[in-house]
Amino acid sequence: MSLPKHLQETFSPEEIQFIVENEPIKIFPRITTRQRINHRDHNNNNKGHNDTSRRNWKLITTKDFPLNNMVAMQTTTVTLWIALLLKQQSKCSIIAPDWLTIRSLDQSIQYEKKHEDRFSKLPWNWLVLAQLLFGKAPDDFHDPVHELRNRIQDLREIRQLKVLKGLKYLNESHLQLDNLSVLEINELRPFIIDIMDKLRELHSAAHGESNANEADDEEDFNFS
Amino acid sequence: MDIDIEDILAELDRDTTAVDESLPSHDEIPSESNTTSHTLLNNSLETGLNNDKNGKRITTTVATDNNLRIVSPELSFKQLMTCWRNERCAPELLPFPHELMKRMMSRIQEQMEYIENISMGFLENDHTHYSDHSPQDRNKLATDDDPVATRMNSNHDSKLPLLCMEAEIERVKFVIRSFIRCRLSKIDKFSLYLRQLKEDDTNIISLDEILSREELEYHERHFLISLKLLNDSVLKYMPTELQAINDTEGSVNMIEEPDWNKFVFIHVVGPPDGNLEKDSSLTTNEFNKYCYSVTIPELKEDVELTINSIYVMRYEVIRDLLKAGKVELI
Amino acid sequence: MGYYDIDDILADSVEIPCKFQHDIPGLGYLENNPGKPISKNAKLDLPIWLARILAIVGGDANPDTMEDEEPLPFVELLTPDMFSPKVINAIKADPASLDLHAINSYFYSLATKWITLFNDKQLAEVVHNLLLERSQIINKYAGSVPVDLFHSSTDIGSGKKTGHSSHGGNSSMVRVSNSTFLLTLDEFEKKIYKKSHESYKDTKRWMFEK
Repeated sequence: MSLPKHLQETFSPEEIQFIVENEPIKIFPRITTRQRINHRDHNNNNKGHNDTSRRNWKLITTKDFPLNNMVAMQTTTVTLWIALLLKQQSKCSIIAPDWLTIRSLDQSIQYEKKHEDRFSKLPWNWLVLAQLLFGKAPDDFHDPVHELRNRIQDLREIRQLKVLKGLKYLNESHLQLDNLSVLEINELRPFIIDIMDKLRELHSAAHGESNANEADDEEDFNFS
Repeated sequence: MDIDIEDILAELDRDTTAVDESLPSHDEIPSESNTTSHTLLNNSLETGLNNDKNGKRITTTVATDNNLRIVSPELSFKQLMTCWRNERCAPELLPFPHELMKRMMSRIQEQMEYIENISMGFLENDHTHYSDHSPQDRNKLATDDDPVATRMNSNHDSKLPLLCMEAEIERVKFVIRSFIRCRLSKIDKFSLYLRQLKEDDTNIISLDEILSREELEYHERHFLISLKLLNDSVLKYMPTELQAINDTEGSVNMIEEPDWNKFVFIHVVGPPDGNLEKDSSLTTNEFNKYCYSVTIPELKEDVELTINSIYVMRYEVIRDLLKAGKVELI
Repeated sequence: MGYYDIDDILADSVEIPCKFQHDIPGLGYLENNPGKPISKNAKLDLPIWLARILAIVGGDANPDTMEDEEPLPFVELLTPDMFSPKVINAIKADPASLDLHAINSYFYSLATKWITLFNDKQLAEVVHNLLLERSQIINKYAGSVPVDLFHSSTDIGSGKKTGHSSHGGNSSMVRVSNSTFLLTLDEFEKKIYKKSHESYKDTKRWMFEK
């Protein structure tokens, strides 16, 4: 098959990670790429050389301007996968987002505990981003990573319990699932979809909405 | 079965040579042109649906070629990601994004040439005084020094941008591969159904809009091969009246159609141009939130889909919103 | 549910009780009386694909009936055991611990067919609740993924991840009861269990490896 069966109705966690990696994140570069030549060139731009040829970074999925204008220790925003790549080469430190601090996570946990019927407003990529940064940039956190990890795990478990309770309300009509993150959705997808599809099937069976053959008569593909 | 991106590229190269060179670099898009690129994008998405089957095709393609220059790379990639995610989640085969793929392919092509040039040091004569060198000198330079390093400030890693650009190309290739694989598996699955679409003239959208040229050919050949197999192994031993493979009279339709009412996860994003006021299908609910009102026909139930919310909803109900880019499948 | 759906074909071959409403010559072979007619009021189990047609299609116009009246169908469908009041009551009483597989391994599929045939809204509601109740438990089992599943593979490369195995502690206990529980699922439930278990496992593996 051109697409493996298990990927036909959902994404793998790795693919979810891929999606999240395309999001912007703030970094402290440890290198400078901004070139002074650019200014000099402006004054005596003698040959018709395109600026393109002088750029170090030329990217086709994201703006390359921030990368060509990095100044060491000056915050800039780049795409996550580039940040991770720079980090791996020790060329930057990654600035953890505001919500990923002990203080902020504790607030989220409080909220989750207080409100039984809703999820705290964590970003759509919270779980993936946290795991990625714990794994690949553990030295960039101000808070101890194992403390952060524990809180993320707590949050995940509280939310999973909530989801479990919410599954009683699956139906044949629709659901609203605000503030569930992309990985949580993906994890639940097969279960929710299959049950709801079956409930829908039961409902239309009872209400005579059988999918009558609407297809027009076509000439048969007879081969004899 | 493996799809080789090189083949696709080679294929497309023939088509898009005219566009290839004209792509300027987009370091920064001036903020004013951002809005225009959005609207132009809409046009180019819709031309696929609006133009009549044979006549106007070429003229619109030419017109949108101009637009190619305006849609920024990052926006194109974002659209590609959306197309990929939508395709993976939708029960039906979605229309092929002809313009977008053309754009992406020519960008990949251009980028691969660029990377190759860098790694071979052809951009060496960057600085004007290099151009005065004799060919021998230039060769010498290119071999003596790491070509990339000479172009950079001496204090940082010369390989880094190259590494990054190569990684990026791999990422784009992955999405395109996965996207095409997903489409091929649907073409296999709905082979007969698509065949039926092809023969039905009453469709608003013709099969050659839904499929790319390569996919059309794939579909045709796949259909013939599997029909031949079925015929050789089973059908020819059956009485003529039992040889049909597309009988729709029986209790179960032999032609598998997409499950139009399948539940999908949606994210309501609003109009692609971001202009909530101008979207006439938007209303405000009692909480003063913008929402789309949809009806589930079978249940005779109205549902408000508020912007930025996530729902599990029947595909058929949100199909039009999906095609208008107002919801995304997640 | 496509034409080539093997589970649907299997479900369609499940036999349900029927009562013949006509004498039909030559059909005696169905009840092991070849050459003999099958007589009116004979009760016989027929596969649902056949019974469904015979219950809809009318026989020869009975001389007794008026001309305008619809011809009496060949057979009348009798309520199979799995939808009998006794079973329905058992379903209502305790859906969770029910051995649905023992009742029928294609229960949902057959129920849907039955509901379609008779527009049976009551049965639809019973099955709806049954599915919802049982799905909670299926989900619970599907979601219990023992962490030591990943230990063996990941431990070799990196020892640092061992401090992270707090969750899923009583996994061995779950696994024992798991096997007996799985035996009580019908085919549709098994499929859901498998798919969601894979999904939970994949996600947990990803979380663990990061």
